[in-house]
Amino acid sequence: MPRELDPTINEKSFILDALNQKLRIDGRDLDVFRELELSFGDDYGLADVRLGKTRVLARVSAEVVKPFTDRPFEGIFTITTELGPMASPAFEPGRQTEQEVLLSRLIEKAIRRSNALDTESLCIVAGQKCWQIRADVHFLSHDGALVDASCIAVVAALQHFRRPDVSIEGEKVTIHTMTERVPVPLSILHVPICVTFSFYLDGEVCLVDATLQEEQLRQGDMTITLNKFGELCQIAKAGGLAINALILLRCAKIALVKAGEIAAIVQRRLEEDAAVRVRRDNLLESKADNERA
Amino acid sequence: MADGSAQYTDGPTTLLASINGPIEVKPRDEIPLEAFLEITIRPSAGVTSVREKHLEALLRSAVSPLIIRTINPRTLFQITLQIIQHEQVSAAHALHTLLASAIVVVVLALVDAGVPMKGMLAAAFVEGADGSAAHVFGYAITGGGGREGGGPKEGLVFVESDGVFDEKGFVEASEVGRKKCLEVGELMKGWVREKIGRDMKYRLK
Repeated sequence: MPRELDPTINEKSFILDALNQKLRIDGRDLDVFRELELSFGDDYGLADVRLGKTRVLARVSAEVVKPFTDRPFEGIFTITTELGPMASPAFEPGRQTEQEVLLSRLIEKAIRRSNALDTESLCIVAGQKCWQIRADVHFLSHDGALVDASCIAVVAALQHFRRPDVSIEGEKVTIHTMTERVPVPLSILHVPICVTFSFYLDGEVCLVDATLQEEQLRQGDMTITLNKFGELCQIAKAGGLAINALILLRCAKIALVKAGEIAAIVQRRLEEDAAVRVRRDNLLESKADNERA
Repeated sequence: MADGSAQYTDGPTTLLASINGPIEVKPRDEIPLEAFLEITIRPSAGVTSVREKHLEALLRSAVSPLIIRTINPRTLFQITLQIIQHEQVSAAHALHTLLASAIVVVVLALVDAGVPMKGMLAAAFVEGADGSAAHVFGYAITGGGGREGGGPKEGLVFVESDGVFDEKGFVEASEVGRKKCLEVGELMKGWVREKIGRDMKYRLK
């Protein structure tokens, strides 16, 4: 498979020279994300995220399976990420590159291991039946910031998803169709957001939401995952340039602001989509949540 | 980013196709006098199954005669089709509805990528009168252009049928299919014209 083309020497010196003057070639400020577009499919649990030219699709699906024997009270949650030739011809189907492994581990840590989804709520009959929630991440176009975009896509799709309602009478479990009973949203404990920083010029310049070209030129990168309450889920920095602690602190502060902004956009888009659905399907009276006093 | 792509929505079905090529080919797949065509179909949820592989084979038989592969020997054209959403319209014929949309979107993506082609293909799904048969018809919508060894003349070039049907049923279905294909074909031509108008803004008058 052809390798991703490296930027030419001219491009490289131009971009780095510009960065030295605190300028980016797409005209953004150093700590500004590209415009985030988020749309949902006709079905529940399909989120399409566009961040500039990067486009990531997340699809959440559910099925009933037997829980793991060592965790009888918990449902199963898996995230699958596969980089295919659609994102870039450099990615070969069926063969994992190092980049792909790092990426899937990062997302796994950010969302699954930070307990964003309450797996205990997925239990139907302890030790016998539980829901398996599966999130498939499809990378449709690669222009940098795949981690940030796919994290947004997965959390948006999880919040958008509705699973069929279940009722239990003794040993008998009935799964109601989507039309029979109002489908139930998943129990989301918090919404983690990833912010990736790229470092240049020995750590003097750090960029948010780097494009592919900028990613190819960076000396190091670091991903901070946190939710809008400022609870830190992970800091991932696999090698690269050694970073001064003060710069790291500054990055964390930027990440907090960005996570709040992104979470707000996701929330707003979810509400807009819900409003459209209510009008389209006449759902005004139907809700699966319990009445709260 | 891919060299060409197209997204197509037909009712409950949304597909996205992307083309890379001509690019370097793995030595194992290299063909001395032709370009190698790689078709990958990726399901919306779950892993690739026999269904997708079957669809890949059908799609290959529909689009590979369209591509002039001898122009770029020892290279690779990579076609990737992502199923974004596909509701089971009638579960028995889900594959055929998918095939019709897949042909349309792949042809559009090939045009967008500037892959040398003999013509464009429009496809439509037709269900038999009693719902027991499913047909996919493919019509060449651009004529061969009179060149020696050019592409297919305008007309029916691809049929894929499934289920129980008789000759009369098939003829009826093919008539419906022809109309549908020509409709889709006009839309496709319109989209290509629009796209070229946008891309070549500075070159065309």
